[in-house]
Amino acid sequence: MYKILLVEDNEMNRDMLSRRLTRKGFVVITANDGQQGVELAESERPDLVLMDMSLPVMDGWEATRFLKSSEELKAIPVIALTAHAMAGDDEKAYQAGCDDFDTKPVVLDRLLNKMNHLLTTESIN
Amino acid sequence: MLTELKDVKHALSAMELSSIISITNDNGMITYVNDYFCEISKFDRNEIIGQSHHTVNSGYHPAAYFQDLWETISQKLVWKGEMKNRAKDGTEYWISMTVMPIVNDQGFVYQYVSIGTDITSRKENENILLQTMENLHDIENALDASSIVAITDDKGVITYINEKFCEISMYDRAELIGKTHRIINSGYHPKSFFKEMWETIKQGLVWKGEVKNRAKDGSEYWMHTTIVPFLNDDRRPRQFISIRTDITDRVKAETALAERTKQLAKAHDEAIKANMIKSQFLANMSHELRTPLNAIIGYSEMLQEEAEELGESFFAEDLAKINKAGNHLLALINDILDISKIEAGKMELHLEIYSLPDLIQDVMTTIRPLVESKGNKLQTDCRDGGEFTSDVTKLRQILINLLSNANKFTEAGSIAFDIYKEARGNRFGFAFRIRDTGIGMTPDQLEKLFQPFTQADASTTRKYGGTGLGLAISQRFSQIMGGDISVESEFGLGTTFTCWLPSSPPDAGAVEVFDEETEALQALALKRNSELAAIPDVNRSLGEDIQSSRTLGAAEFLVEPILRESLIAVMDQFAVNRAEHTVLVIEDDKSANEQAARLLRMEGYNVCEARNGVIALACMGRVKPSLIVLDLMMPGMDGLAFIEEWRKHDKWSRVPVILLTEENKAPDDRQSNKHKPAKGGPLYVQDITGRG
Repeated sequence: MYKILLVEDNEMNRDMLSRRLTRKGFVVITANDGQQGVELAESERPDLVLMDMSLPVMDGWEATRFLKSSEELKAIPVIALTAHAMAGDDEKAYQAGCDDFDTKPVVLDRLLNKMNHLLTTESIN
Repeated sequence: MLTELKDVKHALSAMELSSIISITNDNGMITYVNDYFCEISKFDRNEIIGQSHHTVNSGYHPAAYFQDLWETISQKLVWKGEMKNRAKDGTEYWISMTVMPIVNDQGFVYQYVSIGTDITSRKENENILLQTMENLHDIENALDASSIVAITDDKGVITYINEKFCEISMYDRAELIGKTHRIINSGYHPKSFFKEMWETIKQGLVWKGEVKNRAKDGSEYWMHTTIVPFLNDDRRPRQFISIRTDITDRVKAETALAERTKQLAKAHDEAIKANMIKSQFLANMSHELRTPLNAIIGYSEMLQEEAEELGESFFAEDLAKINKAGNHLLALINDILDISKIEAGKMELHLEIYSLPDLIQDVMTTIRPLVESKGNKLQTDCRDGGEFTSDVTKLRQILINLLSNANKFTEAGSIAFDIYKEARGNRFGFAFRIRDTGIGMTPDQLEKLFQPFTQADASTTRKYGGTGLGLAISQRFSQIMGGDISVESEFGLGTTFTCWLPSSPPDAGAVEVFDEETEALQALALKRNSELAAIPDVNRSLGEDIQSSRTLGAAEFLVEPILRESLIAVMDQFAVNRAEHTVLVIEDDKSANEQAARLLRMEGYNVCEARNGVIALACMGRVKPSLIVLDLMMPGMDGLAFIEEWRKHDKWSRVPVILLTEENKAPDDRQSNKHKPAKGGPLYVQDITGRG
């Protein structure tokens, strides 16, 4: 069972996605902001992080940069999950170090494909 | 006494020399004239003695003048006056004359002595002076009538002003004389302005400038002012005359213009700012709407799954409706963003070469479930496969939009999707035709079809859904790619949409070496030209310009310059001195031929044209070209057949040939090795995409 860290400040979206992922068989832990996300990543060592980008305290780009600069945490794949769907938003996420990018509203199958790809790649590595 | 007489004699002889003297008797007959008289009148003495003074009358003086003279002297009085006389040769002279009557012992006047001096030159000076004064007076009048004039003393105290000065300043003359110009100072100009003016005129120099003054009632007016100093003998100004013209209207117009320009610049800045705000707003709106939509779509989908698992199909149906509505909203947001980008001119093309059958397959996979759900039949005919340069994402969006439209308005009917090659004008391209047997449209509905937010009518939206933006976006996308969408429809019978796109958009790197056909080139014993290899980069740097010009509808805009650049780049290697070489252009397409031939002529080449390969071969001997430019697409004898034939002629085979071709046509024609020339000079291939 993969442990997924969902960093999302919107309560409804956090609840919705964590429930849906749980239904799909993932263990989901949640953080409300980037700071909390980074702390949980350190203590819980999830298999994958779903990172919202516009977050209070520490935003998703900064949190991702932090995770990717840590020797111990940088192997954890990060998928940017954002409602910023304009041209260039994906590029911005990749520059912060995200491994993949998906937009809200979440299309669950599409997201699961991306997650599975990263999770299986990681386990092979 | 003797002494006296002697003195008189001397005096008389002096007078004889200096004066014009004549004596007439009481009948007016001249009895004596002196030498001076003769000299000035140019008459001999014997011609004048015995005549009257009428002999030298110039006719200048009125009769009354002589009457006065005669009356005076008749009364034994001396007459003094000035007289204009006429000499024998017609010249006129003035004398100042004294006429004395001489009385005899009986008291009768028996003769008159007239003594005169020559005042001709004085009279002339007087006339000139008079004339000058009259002129000055005229000038003064003219100046007074046209300008605002003031004269001040050396301290600037007003000593004279004309009527116009009073009019414009609204002061009476009495209020101004003795004052300085400070009385009309508007306070507009800094002190340094007047300081500079005074420094100039005090040096005796003319000052010119534009001055804002204030009238008595407080109104302000602008004067173009010229101040001329009048100098003393010691070159110091003794007074100043200022001549002014009213330029208030001009200054006001200039000020208004400057203000307008400023406003326009501001409006322009604001428009740019507003556009940035709009873009930012759209980005924010997109973000803010997506967040709650995420919850709506996510929860409804999740609950629908759960309801289905629990067998609550009743709930599941309603939850599906929520989900559908959420997805509809999402589609709207995406479409609005597309439209905004198109309208802001920010829509970019991402061109790539891809396989047409693959794309069609991809589109069919997406659309087939929809079609089946409506009980429709979908048939595809992709008779012309091959590769295609386009923005695949946009083309896919167009095709899915057209197909889902056809499906939306068709119930248990059929949809035919045909893809085929079609040339329009002189451009080759592909047509994507989608025919349905659906509800069709009326002419009125057709007219508004491609406008944003207009579906056939409001009831259509209610019944069929949709954002009303899909066709508008598809049409704009097609246009950006250099094509368009056309529609035919008959109400109740069905609709046919045809999206036509050029086989490669004009900015797809309009000239390229055939990278992917290197093998074919080698088969033809061609070597790639290092000069040519650099050309695609040039094109890419021009890409943006092409795109913007094409958005304006100028699809072929840069084709010619690019053709020229690249063509010349190759040509230059073979025909360094352009005028010395004859270039044979073999091309059948009239407009293209004219273009290429004209282009080369303009570049200074000697150009000879042939309509096809047969004609070219026939004229080779006569023309003796140094270089051949050959179009591969020719009727009669095609380009490669020409080469094959031409290579057989030893003496010609060393002539370099530049091939012109269109990218999408080329592979079929060049795949065969049977055209491989056995020997020969270099053969260069030039691709002119976008021309086809």
